[in-house]
Amino acid sequence: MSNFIEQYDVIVVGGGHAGCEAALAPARMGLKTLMVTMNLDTIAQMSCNPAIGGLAKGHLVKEIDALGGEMARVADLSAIQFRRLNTKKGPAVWASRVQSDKKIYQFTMKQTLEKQHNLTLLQDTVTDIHITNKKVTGISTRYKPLIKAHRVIISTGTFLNGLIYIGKKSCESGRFGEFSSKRLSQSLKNEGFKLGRLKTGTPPRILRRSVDFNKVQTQPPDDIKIPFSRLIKKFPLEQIPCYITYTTQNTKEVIRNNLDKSPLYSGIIKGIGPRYCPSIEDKIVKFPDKEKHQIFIEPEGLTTEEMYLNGASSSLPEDVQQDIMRSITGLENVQIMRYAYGIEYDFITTDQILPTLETRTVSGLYLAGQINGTSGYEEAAAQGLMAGINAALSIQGKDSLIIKRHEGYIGVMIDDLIIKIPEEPYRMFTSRAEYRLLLREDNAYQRFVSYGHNIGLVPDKVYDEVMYHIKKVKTEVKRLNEIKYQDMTAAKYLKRPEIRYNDLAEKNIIKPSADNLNNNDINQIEIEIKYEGYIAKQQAQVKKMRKYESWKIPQSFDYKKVVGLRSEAAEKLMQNKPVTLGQALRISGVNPVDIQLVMIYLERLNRSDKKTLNRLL
Amino acid sequence: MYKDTIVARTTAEGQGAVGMVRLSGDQCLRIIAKLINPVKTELVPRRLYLGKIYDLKNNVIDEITYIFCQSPSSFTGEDTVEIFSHGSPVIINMIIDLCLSLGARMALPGEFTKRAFMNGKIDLTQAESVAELVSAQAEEEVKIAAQMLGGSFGRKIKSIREELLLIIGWVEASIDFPEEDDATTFNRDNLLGRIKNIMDTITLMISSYTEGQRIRNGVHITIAGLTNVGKSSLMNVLFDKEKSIVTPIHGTTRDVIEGTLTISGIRVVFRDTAGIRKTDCAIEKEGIKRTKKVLSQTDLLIYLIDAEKKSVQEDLFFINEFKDKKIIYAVNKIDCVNKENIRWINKIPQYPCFISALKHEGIKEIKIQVENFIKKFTSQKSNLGYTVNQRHYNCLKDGLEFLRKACAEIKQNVSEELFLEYMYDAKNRLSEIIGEISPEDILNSIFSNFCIGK
Ligand SMILES: Cc1cc2nc3c(=O)[nH]c(=O)nc-3n(C[C@H](O)[C@H](O)[C@H](O)COP(=O)(O)OP(=O)(O)OC[C@H]3O[C@@H](n4cnc5c(N)ncnc54)[C@H](O)[C@@H]3O)c2cc1C
Ligand SMILES: Nc1nc2c(ncn2[C@@H]2O[C@H](COP(=O)(O)OP(=O)(O)O)[C@@H](O)[C@H]2O)c(=O)[nH]1
Ligand SMILES: [Mg+2]
Repeated sequence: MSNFIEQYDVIVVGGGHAGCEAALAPARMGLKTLMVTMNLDTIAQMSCNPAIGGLAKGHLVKEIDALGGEMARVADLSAIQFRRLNTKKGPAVWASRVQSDKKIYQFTMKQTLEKQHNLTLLQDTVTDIHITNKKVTGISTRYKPLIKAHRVIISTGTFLNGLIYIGKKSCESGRFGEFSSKRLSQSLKNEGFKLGRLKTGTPPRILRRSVDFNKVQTQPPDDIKIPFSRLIKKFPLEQIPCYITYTTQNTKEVIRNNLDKSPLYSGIIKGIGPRYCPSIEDKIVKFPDKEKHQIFIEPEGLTTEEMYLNGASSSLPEDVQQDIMRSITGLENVQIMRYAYGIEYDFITTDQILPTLETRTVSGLYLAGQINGTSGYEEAAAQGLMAGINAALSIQGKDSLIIKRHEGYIGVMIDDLIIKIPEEPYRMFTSRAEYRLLLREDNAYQRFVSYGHNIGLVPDKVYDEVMYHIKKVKTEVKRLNEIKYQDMTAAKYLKRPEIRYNDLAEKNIIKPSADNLNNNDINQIEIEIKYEGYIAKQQAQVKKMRKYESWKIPQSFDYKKVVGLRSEAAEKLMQNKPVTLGQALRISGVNPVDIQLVMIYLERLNRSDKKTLNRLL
Repeated sequence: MYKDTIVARTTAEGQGAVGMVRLSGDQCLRIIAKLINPVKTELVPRRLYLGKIYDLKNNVIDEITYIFCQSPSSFTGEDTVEIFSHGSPVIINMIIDLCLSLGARMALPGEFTKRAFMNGKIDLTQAESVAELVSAQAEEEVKIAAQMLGGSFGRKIKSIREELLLIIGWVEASIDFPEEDDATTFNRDNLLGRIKNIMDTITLMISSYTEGQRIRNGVHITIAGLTNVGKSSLMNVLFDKEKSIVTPIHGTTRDVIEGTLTISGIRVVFRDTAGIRKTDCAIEKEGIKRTKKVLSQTDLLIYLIDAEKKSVQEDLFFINEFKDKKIIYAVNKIDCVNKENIRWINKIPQYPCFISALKHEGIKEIKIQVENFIKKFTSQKSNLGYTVNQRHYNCLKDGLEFLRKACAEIKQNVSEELFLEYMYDAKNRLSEIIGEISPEDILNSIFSNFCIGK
């Protein structure tokens, strides 16, 4: 054995959705990067449903693409059904979603990683993180006592102390059929990290030919199909349908008669599961009056006969699961190939991370994905990307990149995590974004492309293209505001709900634009004009908050010194350690008067001792 | 950094001889230009000016004096205007309301002092005392808020907030879970109905403000009647001594004399009017108009009739004009006429008291009737269980307005995420009354009410 010690700039632990982005970003930014993951064949595996996007998640995918991440492109290349949700509502809440061929997704991502310059892949299990003087120095794996690194990003998903349940049977596992990460969990605990425990679950997979398709509804793909990524013009794979069916009265009875066999209802599982993803048992117990519940049957891919039963997750024993599934319309003779299971796992409480996703106590150590208490591929990928970018920027000695709440869902998510430790797996919703009207899928590039370009993840060509479109839209909006029509302007006329941009030229109100406007440009012109009032209103709110967002609170700020601060508020502030006054204001239990007091102290610090303050920040 | 302009009353709550309202911030001059008439275009700092304040309907509210201090030579270091008005809380509140509607924001406790500190007007060593000041007031606010939460007003606001959360959650669910069969059963008519109910409740609360305001400011009683029936004499009798007790305060109409008594623990303001006279048409109208204006702020009217009169036709004409008011009738100068000889008694809508202001007869009878009225008045108010103060009133008023806008958009078929903006505004404004809530509450509402999740 040679005693040569390998040395990397960045090491990423775990090749899930967070890990993939976390490894690609620094490598693309020119840093020597290593990804260590337990099993190369499970890179970017979709542990649960075979889909990317949806409400708020689709927004995240677009933002990832605009920042130069990978998820959008891989989702497009593996898409087998595209749908745009919420088209009856306004454009701010339109959301794209694709069903993905799971295997194609995984292997497309794997190959992307393999081809990436500066990136090394290693199949191994990380057992310890090395920390000296509160600074990360490297890792140990099962086979290597030390690999050195300047930065380490941990993205181990549900694997920390993972415990799987089917009925009351349980076994240690990070995902079905995979090992859990016990050593690493213990190692983090030893370093003083506080861990919490959460729970989630996944429904059964069934055999396609055991479904009676005459009894279920078909849900076809949309006619107009728009890829997530700017780099993909058209989905390459065949587009196929999903199916919808319902539970029956019988389902209720089976579940009611077997509740005592559930590890949750009998109190064995203590972690808290997501309310937005209830098990079929939960639905029946909590909504007893609801006659039937909707179940989606989704293909897991083009080259498999396995199908995913969306809406039927359960932690009841195998025999009961079989009875439940067979009580569902169309599934009378269904064959379950993989049983539903629940999983409990450790996460690191989010009061321990900074907005860069670096830990507060160990410099150079970053956390991303489910380890931060989130759930979902898109949430994980977005964090992976941000952790990767910030780890790289810090090595390069550049300013960190922190997305603000009014700039993107990524900003909302990370800010939410910092303000509050998740009590259930955190998932993105549009209702979490107070500036929702500003954060649309259609303007993700406008919002992010400069950031992506500055850090070197978005190529000049894409950047120039986006800038060119922004300019075209601006010019056209200006023109419409200048063209007179009757007693108003063309823009004002376009505000009428029934009028579309294309009507203007058709009715000879305007001459067709000299610029070659595409559908996305036109969409944006319409949005900018039609929703002007609402957008302005939210922008005004952003401006109002900006003053608070720009007030930084030093990490070592001593709230106890603030005369008159209510003890409840002081406690909350000390627990959540907000980084800005804006964050402090969002912490529940802290009111504007408390913030005033903190502000006075900060100002005082600022005036009396600029040097100390700068050092603290 | 502190661009918004703040306003607050700077004299203590309650009745005083003068009231002071302070405005601080960039918008001061713009606001007073619309508020005060005449306003000099070039105000000399630190000079006292005279002006009148008009409401939005162009009625004079008060004659005031004001001083402008230019940034940085003011207490806060910003442009500041201080307005001195008469001390009535009604007037002060109206002035503040106008400033708010012209773009000012209600100052937080201690905010003037805080701005003074931030703008370097106060020495650094004073920071601590500022903090103490703010926190003392904050504590007071917290105490008040806590009391409110326990009270029926707080409960009512809480239940409104719950209902708003519920319906916002309902709409949000239809946005965030478009494929759920449950959440998508969202119905605009039903939604409008539920918002309408909330608006009705708020409207009721707002009206309790006007009523509560009266209790806080005292019950107002006006003595009216034709000239020379003995109104001023009655006033003097009620106040025992002449003049020294009837403190003349010039109100908006100049010819109204006021005096205050405490009856059954309630402050009672008596007003003596100049009297109405039916000479020619124009003046008659003017007289009614003026008296009506005084009466608009009156809870009870004592209508005096001269016992020596042969006919009450003229009186009946005026009585008819004021018929929607609570009235006590009194026939004065009963020392001159025998009660039995008065022919017109049964023409008066209500059996009167018979008094002699000159001989101090029958005064007790009037006082008993007034007392009974006050008892009824206050007990009727306490049925509501709460009164609304100005801060609450502003929140309620804005909340109502936002809901009105939301309803208009719902009716016009505007998309969910857009009309929700107004519902959030309403919710935030109403929540201010009892303390802020977090967005997490919306999600809680979604998950507890809808079966969601694939
Ligand atoms: C049963 C189940 C049900 C779920 N249900 C849902 C759902 O309904 N909806 C939803 O949105 N999301 C669901 N998820 C969550 C979703 O799968 C995750 O949020 C997402 O995949 C997290 O991404 P990640 O990158 O953080 O971790 P993961 O995708 O879990 O990846 C972790 C990676 O780290 C590797 N690893 C772990 N420990 C080590 C170690 N010590 N050394 C080296 N490598 C290691 C693993 O091999 C794995 O490749 C579910 C997950 C599971 C397991
Ligand atoms: N005889 C008699 N004269 C009265 C009485 N009350 C008032 N007066 C007289 O009526 C005149 C008008 O009184 P005043 O109070 O000024 O009436 P006002 O115009 O209604 O305010 C005065 O000369 C009083 O002295 C009363 O009770 N009896
Ligand atoms: Mg008189």
